[in-house]
Amino acid sequence: MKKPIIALILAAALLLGLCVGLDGLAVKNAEAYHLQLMQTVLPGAEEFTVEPYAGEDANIRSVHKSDIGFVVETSTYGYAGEITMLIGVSNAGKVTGLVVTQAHETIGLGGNALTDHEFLAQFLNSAGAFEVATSGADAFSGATGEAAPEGETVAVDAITGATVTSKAVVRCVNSAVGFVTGADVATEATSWGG
Amino acid sequence: MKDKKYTLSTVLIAVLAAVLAVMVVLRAVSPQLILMEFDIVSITGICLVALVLDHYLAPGAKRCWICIPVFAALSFGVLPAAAGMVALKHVPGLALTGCVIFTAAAWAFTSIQDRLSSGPAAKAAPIMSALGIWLAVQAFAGIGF
Repeated sequence: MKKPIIALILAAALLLGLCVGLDGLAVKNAEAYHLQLMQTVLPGAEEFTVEPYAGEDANIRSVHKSDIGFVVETSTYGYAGEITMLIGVSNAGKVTGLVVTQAHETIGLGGNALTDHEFLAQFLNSAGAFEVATSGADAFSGATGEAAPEGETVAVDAITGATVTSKAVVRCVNSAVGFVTGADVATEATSWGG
Repeated sequence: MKDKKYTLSTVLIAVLAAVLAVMVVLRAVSPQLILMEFDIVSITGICLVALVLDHYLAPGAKRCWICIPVFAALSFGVLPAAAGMVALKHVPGLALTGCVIFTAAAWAFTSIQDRLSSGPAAKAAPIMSALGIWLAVQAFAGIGF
């Protein structure tokens, strides 16, 4: 009986020591990587200040402001847990870049949201609210970079076999764009596939 | 023989601690990596690795079916929290999930092992049994903390 108790105490002490010992390095590296990501999704921006967010959009986690636009961290539920994204939006309300920073979607299906450039590129330089394209829908499907007419949404082709994940990404992007443009984006962080 | 019945719990602690230590180091040096989350599939994977190692380290050892859930709950409750991998509010849930999964996996693994322990396939049987159980729990992917 003593062996597992001793092993548990030793393992806990070792992990605690490792965690505390590497905490400084972890925080430093995470901050540097976060800044690098923000500069990537909002090209041309050098410095960011944290903008307090007190709105009602449950998807928005944090907002970082620069001279030329905003980087909004959003999070919503996909098929397998939360999907967290960093989305760069210019002051004009156009998406300048986006990256999925956390996701645990199905490998080979929703997991492709991390690397499917064709899917992610559909949002670039576009403005307005996005919607996953469905047959028979009357969403606007202009070329990338074209703004949707007033009152219409921009159609986005879903990742093959991952409609729920695609809709989650769209909700994240809509929340970020809605924050910058002041659009009323009704979101529910717990909605699944909606 | 007296000590051997606690080997499984000790091996589980060692496997879980090793996984968590790797995760802590990776989190510090490679923030771009998306680390494994503690869902049913990953918890089962850790439990099965411990069960397979235990089979080779202490073959035929008697199990203490009271110690197994108790130490599983303690392991999954204490170690991920000590490594800073789960928020404190998730600790009770993770401890309970780890307890249930490890007990169920140990029962299923032991039952299968008992039936496959003879014949020419016996040496590979632990690994194949673990793979079979792990594939079966894929249906629960995405349920986690």
